[in-house]
Amino acid sequence: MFYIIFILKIFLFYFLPIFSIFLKSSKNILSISNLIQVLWIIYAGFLSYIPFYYYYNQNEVNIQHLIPSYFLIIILFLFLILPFIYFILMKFIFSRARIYLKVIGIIFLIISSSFIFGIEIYNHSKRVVLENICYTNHNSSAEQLECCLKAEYIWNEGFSFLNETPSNCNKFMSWND
Amino acid sequence: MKYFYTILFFLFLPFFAFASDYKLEKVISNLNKPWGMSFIDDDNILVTQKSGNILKINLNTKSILKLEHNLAVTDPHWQAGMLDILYSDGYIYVSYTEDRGGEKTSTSIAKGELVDNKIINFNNIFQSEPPVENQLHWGSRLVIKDKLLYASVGERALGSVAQDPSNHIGKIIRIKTDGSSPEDNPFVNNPSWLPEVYQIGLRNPQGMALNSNDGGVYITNHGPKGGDFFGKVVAGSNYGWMDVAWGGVDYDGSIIGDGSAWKEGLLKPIYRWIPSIAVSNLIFYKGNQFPELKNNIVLTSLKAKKLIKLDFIDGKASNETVLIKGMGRFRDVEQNEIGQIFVIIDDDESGIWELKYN
Repeated sequence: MFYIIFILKIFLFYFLPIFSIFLKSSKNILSISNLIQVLWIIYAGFLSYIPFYYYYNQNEVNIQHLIPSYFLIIILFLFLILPFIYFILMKFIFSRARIYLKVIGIIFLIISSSFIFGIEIYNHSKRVVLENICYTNHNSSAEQLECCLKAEYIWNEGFSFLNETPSNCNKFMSWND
Repeated sequence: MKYFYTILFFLFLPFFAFASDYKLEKVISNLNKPWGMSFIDDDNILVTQKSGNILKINLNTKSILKLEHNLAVTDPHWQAGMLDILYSDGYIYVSYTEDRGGEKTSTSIAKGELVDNKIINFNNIFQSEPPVENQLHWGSRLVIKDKLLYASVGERALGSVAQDPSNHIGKIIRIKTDGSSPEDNPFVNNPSWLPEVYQIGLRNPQGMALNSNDGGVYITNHGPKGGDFFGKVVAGSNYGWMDVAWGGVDYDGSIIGDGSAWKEGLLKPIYRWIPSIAVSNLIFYKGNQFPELKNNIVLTSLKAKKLIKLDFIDGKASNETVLIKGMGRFRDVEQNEIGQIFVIIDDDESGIWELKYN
């Protein structure tokens, strides 16, 4: 399932801007072409920011301790503002410049997507090992297995949650008793 | 009927006591990143600042006196700087990150005599070996029991080195107050072990306290992502870092070792926090001002920003209760002889605060 969603994400990430290249530019601001590009910008921004946020949050790594605080703004600029500028330029620049911009845009997409999807694959590879512990050690009932698979912390003798523990899972979390 | 109400009153008295809310009152403000404190008497306290300063503060008059010294404390970068302090019988002991040259540093301990607000003969009595090139995981808490100094040394982010007894990294060390090794240290006659080593297999023990009831020395230890714990210092024992991670995983999500929290032959933690709360220093409260805390543990947490009570009965910890939450990163907690409890918060609101009833 992870890989189906993953491939779908990559497909959308590349398909929409490439598709928009072949669409005829319309002067109508409410055209389908413009709508697709706006949706893509939102999607790209969402998709690119979330892995960073998710990765550092889930790993309890305080991003501000690793990088200067202004780097968060750079990340936002790279993954949200820049595509937006790209889109604006696309609409108002003459055809030859537009071709160069589209090439630059595609290169930018390849670079940014390698970060975005690289982190996602990396996280998934780490997660599979933990989930195997659930299938091996915490499968005495379907309920316990389900709790374990939802947990953020999994070890041979137990599991735990980062935030709210589902009420039905408390009974499986007695490592301090 | 009168007896009924009397019985009812005493039955519910403990609940009223526990229902009491606590608050913190600021005693000293604008301290720049304080780290450790130790009482000289009920009013005067010694405080370290990561920047390298040692301060003598009168909690009544609020006067702050900077005590001069010439220790080679590294710049206060990341977790480095002047760390814990302990006052005992006229002497000051400090743990600090020492510049050992060539960008290498170590957890070191210096001792000096406090005479007329001056520290005299302030020299190292211990340097952890080997010095290392990073700014992480120093441990550094100090406790004196039976005229022997117990100190925690972090594993300097070197992981399995904590299992190697030929270094001080990731260990509890036990030395005489002149720096020499006691003859009854567990491995003093084993040439492959450093004589100061008392316990091995720790990651970053940032809390240490003596329990005067059972005479035991207890620590808190930072696990990785999950696996913070409270446990006992036991001669010659091994907590297992980095073969086990006490329920935590590595920051990149990897399992540590085979994913076990504990293995045969290792010492078990008494109480664990998963997720981690970044557990810091602790006390076993022995005063009378807060009867419900007496003989129990009060401990601090950095990341979770909590002051926590743990019941401690027959060597077991339970019933975690949050006394204060959300005021900042609680670094240190200490008590004086009249039972007042003071904490260090080292956030923007850096300072010393006193615990009170609401």
